[in-house]
Amino acid sequence: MPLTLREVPRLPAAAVELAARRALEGHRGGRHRSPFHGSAVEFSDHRAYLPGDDLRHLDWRILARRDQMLTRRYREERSLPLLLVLDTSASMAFGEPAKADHARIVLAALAILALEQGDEVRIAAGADGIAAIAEPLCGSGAAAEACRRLADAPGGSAGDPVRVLADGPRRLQRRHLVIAASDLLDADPAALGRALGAAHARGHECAVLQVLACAELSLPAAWGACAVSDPEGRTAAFACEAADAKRAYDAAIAAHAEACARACAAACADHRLAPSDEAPAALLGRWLAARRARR
Amino acid sequence: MIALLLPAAAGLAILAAAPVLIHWLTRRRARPLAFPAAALLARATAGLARRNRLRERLVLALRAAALLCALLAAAGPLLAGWGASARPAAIVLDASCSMRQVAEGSTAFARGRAAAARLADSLAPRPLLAVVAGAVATRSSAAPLSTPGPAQALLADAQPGYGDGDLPGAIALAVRSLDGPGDVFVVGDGARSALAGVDAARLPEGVALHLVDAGGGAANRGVVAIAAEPGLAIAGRPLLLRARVANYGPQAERIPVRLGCGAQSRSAELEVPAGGSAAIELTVIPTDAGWLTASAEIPGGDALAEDDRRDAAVQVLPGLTAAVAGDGARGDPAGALRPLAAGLEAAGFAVALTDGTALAGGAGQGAALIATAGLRDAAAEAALAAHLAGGGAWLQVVVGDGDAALRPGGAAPPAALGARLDLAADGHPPVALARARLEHPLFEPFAGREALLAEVTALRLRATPDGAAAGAEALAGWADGNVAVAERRIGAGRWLLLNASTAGADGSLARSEAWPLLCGRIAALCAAPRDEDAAAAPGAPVAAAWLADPAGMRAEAVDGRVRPDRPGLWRGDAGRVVAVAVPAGESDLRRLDGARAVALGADEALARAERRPLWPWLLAAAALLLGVELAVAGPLARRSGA
Repeated sequence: MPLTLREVPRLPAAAVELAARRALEGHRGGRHRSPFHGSAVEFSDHRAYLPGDDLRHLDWRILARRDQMLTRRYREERSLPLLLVLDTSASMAFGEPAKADHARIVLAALAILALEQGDEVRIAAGADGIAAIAEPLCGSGAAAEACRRLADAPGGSAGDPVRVLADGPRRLQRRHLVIAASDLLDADPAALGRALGAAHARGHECAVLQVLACAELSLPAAWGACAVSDPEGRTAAFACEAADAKRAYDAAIAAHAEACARACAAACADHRLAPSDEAPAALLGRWLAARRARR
Repeated sequence: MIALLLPAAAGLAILAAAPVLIHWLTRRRARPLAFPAAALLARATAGLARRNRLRERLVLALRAAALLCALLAAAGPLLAGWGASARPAAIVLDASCSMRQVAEGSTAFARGRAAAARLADSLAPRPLLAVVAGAVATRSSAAPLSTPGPAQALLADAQPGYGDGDLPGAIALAVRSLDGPGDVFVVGDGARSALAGVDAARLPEGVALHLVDAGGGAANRGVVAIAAEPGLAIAGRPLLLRARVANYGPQAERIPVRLGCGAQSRSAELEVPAGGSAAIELTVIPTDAGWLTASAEIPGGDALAEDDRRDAAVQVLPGLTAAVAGDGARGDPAGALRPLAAGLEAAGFAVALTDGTALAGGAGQGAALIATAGLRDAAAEAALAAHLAGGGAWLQVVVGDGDAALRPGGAAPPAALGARLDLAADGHPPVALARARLEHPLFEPFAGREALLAEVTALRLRATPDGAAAGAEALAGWADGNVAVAERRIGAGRWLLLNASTAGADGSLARSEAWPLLCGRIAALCAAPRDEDAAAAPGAPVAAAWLADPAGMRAEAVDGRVRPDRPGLWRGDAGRVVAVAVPAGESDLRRLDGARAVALGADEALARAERRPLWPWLLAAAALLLGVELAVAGPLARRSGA
């Protein structure tokens, strides 16, 4: 059977919602404070000042009194808008399950979680940029609509994940928590850093889920001789022996993921590698726990 | 030059293409893969594909080469070790009777001929000639030729003879043909008897001798001689026939043998030691003059069948006759002939006086002794030669120039006596006999009676001191140092020289008491027991107009001689019988001892006669190529490539 992009039937919205809700089991025990923290009006605690922190939140009194730089942290009191950005480029159709499906389920779970927390959720999807962002969704009753929007997001063409990441935040007027799901395979880490830095400068808090298929993270040597083509057509077709190329490729993909992670960190954005064969629940658990720990 | 033992197997070399074909037919088709990280993969494998392609082709080439080496090894390639040299070479093929010995279903000659043919192939780039050492050595060309065709043709047509092959003579012929440095390869059975006269150390400088062993050395036994005693068979007198059987096996054997002569025969079982011989005897009394035939037989079944039976032919004379020939006056009592004839008559000979012309016409035929004195007719030489070849005796009394010039049998002793007559005409007095070898049968009666010899005086020719020329043995000498009596064996015959005039006017010899005694001893010598074979060797010349071989095929004479070439009884005109038998030496198939073989270059030749096999090297190369292939295509290479 040729190893090519499958014509996978897109997950229906209901399946996305069901999978998302199943992923959320165990991560909500009732109404919680939103894990999507940000600057807010109610003081919560201090933490050590980090370069890049907004100087408005620097506790000047403590600085004057104890010569210690501490940043004031606040608890959200109002809903934090959430922008979920889905990369629907052709490369996202690869994998078992397809990276796009995996991303949809994870983003849908986050949308449901946010809606149930009373947060406003926007959903944007695109392959080569975001043409428009639909009106926000509010309340837990909008979960199905969020899942529908994610499930129906058009895709399959060549794209630029950096542009997708850059377009979403740029179109928002208010500060948002931007969570993007993309494989970042064709992303230039430097451009990625610049796009996220720009979003951060606009006040957005960004997180990137880099969704990669298992075969992309570790090239299966058993594939043998392959006539490789780029589903997005950027690279001319070529022949290779998987067993011979495995070592070099594995090192290259690891280096690329590491470069993307460094670019995200430099732009104060969260980066999380999301293998498509990892259960969404486990991914969400790790990620939410990490965010809560950071708060 | 490379030759193949199994050229057909070389056709299998096409199988060397099998790895390529298998690779082509079974190579995995590249699976189409739409891979999102194609750009990363392309960067990671940049250069790797080209390396892999090169490695793949290298592996294919190595496999094909390894297979090719293995298949070529199966074809038995041989490398001609001599090809690079331009030294001329001669191949001497032993075609003697011993090469007829059979071992493992083939004769030594067949194996030797095949070895010689292979040798000729491998020597091909070098100037080459071949010599076949048969009864008469034949060579392929007068000088070595760059084209091996004539040599190969001669070797291919060669057949084994029944004689001794005269290997030393054939080697000498080859050496002469080389006319300078070169290699002489002697292909033979390594029998010590055949190579007895070969001395590698005496070859010309630059000529190397190499023995090529065709195999042989089997145990053999044979009838090696039938001798008659006395040497002259006289009708009515007893004749003892003695057949000798030799055992050349590794241990003593009891060999049954049957000796027959006409209606008489005798059988016995002889105890013959290893390497020794034993004889069986039979006494017969021939009733009539003519030719008496005898044969001896032993059971066959040994390596050489040709020597298991032997024939003999003995001429029976009606009586002891002597022909006294001279071209001077036969009736002159003071001349040389009359005293000579009188002395021989006193010794029991029936004497016929004749002259040179009559002698040449056959007047001496059937005589036990031909005595010549004052003979000037050179035409008599042929008759004298035939007489000697038939086992007769010739008493040559030298009294003049003509006597000194007679040379029967080639370079005969009279030449050593000088050509100038030195008689009393110049006032030279007769000289006295000064010395004699009393232990010789001729002078046995004079032991203790030396004074009888001391009284003898005679005119004589000047001769070289002791007369020790041309193989003659001086038996007595004059006081002035010249030889007086000499003896030499010529063929089966005996030549006696008396360098003294028997004429009454030329001294006291014919009147002395010593003269009758001397004539008596001459008669005894003519009929002396002889332990000689009563058969001729194959190829030896026999003076006859024609002879019919044992099958009745007639062979005409060339230059008055017939060369009977195979064993058996050959019959000629006037009831003449010639027995031909395998030379005794051919029965001895024992091989050269190690030191002698090495001295004759046997080790070197055995190592180099055959072309060097290449297959071990090809197999080693195949193994090496497979090792390299494993290293290139194996897990090690894959790890480093990945």
